[in-house]
Amino acid sequence: MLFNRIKGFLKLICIKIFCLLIFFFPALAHGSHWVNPRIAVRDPMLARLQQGRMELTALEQKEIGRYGFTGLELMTYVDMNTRPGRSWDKFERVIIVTSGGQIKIFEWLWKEIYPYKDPASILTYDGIKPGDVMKKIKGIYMSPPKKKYRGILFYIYLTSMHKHLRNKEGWSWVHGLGRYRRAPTTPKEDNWLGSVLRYDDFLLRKPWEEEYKILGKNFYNGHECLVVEGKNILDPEYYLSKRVTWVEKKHFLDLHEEQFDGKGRRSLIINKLWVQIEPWKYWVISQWNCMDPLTGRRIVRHGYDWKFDREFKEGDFLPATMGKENFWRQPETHLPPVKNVADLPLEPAARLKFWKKLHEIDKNEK
Amino acid sequence: MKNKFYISLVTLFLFIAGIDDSMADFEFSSFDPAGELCNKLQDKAPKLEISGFINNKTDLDLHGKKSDTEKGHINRDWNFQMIEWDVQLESRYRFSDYLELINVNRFLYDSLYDWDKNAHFSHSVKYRLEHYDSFKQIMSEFYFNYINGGWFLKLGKQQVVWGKMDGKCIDIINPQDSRESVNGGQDDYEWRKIPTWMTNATYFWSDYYIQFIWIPDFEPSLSPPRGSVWWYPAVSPTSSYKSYKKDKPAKTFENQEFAIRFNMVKNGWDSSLIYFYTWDDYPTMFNRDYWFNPVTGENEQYREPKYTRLHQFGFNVDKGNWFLGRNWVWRMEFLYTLNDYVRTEDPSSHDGAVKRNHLKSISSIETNWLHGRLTTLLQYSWKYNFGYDSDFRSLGSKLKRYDPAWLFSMSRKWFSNRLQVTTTFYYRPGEGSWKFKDTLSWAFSDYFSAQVRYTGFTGPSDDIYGMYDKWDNLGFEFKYNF
Repeated sequence: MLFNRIKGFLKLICIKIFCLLIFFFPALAHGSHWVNPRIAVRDPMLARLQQGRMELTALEQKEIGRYGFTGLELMTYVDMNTRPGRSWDKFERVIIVTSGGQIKIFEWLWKEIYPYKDPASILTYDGIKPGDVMKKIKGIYMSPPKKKYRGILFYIYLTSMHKHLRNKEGWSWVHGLGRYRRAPTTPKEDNWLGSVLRYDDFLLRKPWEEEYKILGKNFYNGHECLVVEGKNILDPEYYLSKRVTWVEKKHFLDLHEEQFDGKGRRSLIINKLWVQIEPWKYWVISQWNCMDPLTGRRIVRHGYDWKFDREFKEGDFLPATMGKENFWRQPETHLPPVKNVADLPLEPAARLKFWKKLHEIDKNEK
Repeated sequence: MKNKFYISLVTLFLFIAGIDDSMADFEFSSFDPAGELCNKLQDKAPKLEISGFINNKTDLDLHGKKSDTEKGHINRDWNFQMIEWDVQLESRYRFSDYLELINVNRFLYDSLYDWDKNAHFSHSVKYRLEHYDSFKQIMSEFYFNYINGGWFLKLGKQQVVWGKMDGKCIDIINPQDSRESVNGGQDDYEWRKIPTWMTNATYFWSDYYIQFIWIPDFEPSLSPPRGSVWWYPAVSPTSSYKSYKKDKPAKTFENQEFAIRFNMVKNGWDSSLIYFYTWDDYPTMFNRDYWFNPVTGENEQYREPKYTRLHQFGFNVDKGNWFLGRNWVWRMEFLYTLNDYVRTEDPSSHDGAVKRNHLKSISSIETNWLHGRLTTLLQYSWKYNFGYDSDFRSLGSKLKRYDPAWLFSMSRKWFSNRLQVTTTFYYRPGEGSWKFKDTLSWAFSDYFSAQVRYTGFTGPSDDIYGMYDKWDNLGFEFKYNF
């Protein structure tokens, strides 16, 4: 009898401790939290073999032996980190520096929802299939004054290598005219906001659109990275000859990227600052620092005040809802003002030592 | 001499300012004096947001002084068609994330009437067009925004835009100030629309919304006044009749306007059905009695301008398709208007106007080229008059049974989107008349921009474009947004 009472008491204590744990572990208390993509995907072959591929190439087998990953696998994990599968919102400031040194500043409040259950669903087609909307994005401009209250809405579609499908639909709300209108979506290579960044750099590109080769290991800001070279396999006239990405191999974050145009010239350098957002522990890119070394044009994007697990409804992503011109929340933090180029972070630089070393290795192998 | 003195003074000032060391640190891209003032105010009242603009639009006439039309002689003694200064001040007070009060004040001054010493306009023209002087004109918008669940309510004086075309089809809710007649373009709609007091309630659910509008306060559209720059040259410059005073409908419940819109977005198809029980925004002139004028010794006709009731039914749809490796957006709008009065010269018509129905439609297709840098838009519109008669008249000219029009527009951006060039052609195949609009705009910064614009017209003198054949103009626009 006494034993049963003690047993019941202990059971109650255990339940209470568990409840307290939930309370004190905010990631659990907030319903969702970041899961390493390698764990989320469960079977790494899902990331290694995509779009109906049945077997690994000889190069990929060699890379698994040497690095533990294939290039496609790494880039898929990076892509999964950019799509948490949970609704979120953030404030963003974008500073564009023209070749003449003039700056243009855009600020907006931005939110996204994902109509599928988790990031791995994109690989397994669980509840979503090519042609379906894979995310909806809505934003409202805070500045410049000319664009204040202007709304933007995008539906991003899940595409497939085997069928030519639309990748994006877009609408805009013009505050002055007081109307929303569907806009023809621009191609992947179009310059975003007239800057050096293109839609394929952050919005439209899917990992399987490129074939990869892991060039080697390199330390970037103290993080061990695998350097992945990607070449587009869909479009023979693609605007880049290659894109080389430094992927931090523990959490799968692309920290640095160098792009090379059709003539093989280095055309864009990107440094990305990834941070983990408490209490959800999701990784986000808090700063994009990009420069075209050929023209000196730059763009710096600052994402701040992120919130996850937002209860946004699908109905709030209808084009007509942009007419509400509603800032659904105010920023809790503020970024320091930017008046001129001197207020920006240092220009991103190419990883010349890595390239030199790689060149020497290639030379020796030959 | 006086002008030369001023030019020298300005040059001297610029020279002194230029050699000042502090100017070396001047950062034009962040120069926003009014914005900084607004920010200081907003710091003191964090729930208040203030924005606005100052704009100057100057249209220089490219033709001579005189114009003889089939309907008479127009003394075109102006050098400029417009030297308009517009100021807008918009303030929003945010009571909560769901309730806001919005106030837009607008100030207009057309300095043409004071600065163009060659131009002579009547007092009535000057009174109508020179500046906004009434509270009704200045307080352009004043409304509450309330968002709760699926409901979105806008209560107060406001603008509602239903159409999505470059032109008006189902965009029928608010009247318009047409002081520039056909010289205005898409960019002018915002400024030229006349906001009205209304209750505007929308309920969103799933992929649908339904909108109810109740307008207790009827406001008519405004035509260019007789004798002004943009008065219709196809209409006789002198009246051939006397007009009674124009009365607005009495403010009773049965005279109010009601509108409803149902919209849905399914599989990328965005479509709406609309109905508007309204008044015609322009009055119809009804023939009344003849009176003997003892001074002229002639019988003069009196006409009564009256606003008439209309039923308007509409439909619109738009969709984006991938075709030939690019995204094409096509849009269609239809508007069927019931009980619209048309002027007629049929002698059997007692009051010179008959009631007819008409159907209007605009279709467009838009896409981009050159890696997204060039945007093109092709639009076809038409209007079909049911129960047509060759005696029907509009602006003194013969009305068409079927009246088609084309629009083709191209726009391209350069230099980080700072330079934009747009060219638009309007063509009316029934008449062989054209309107051209070429615009070159440059953004100096996020706050300051400028535009140079050419607008030209050609065609037969009784057509809406052709009648302005000698009204081609070169426009300059400077804008400061804050």
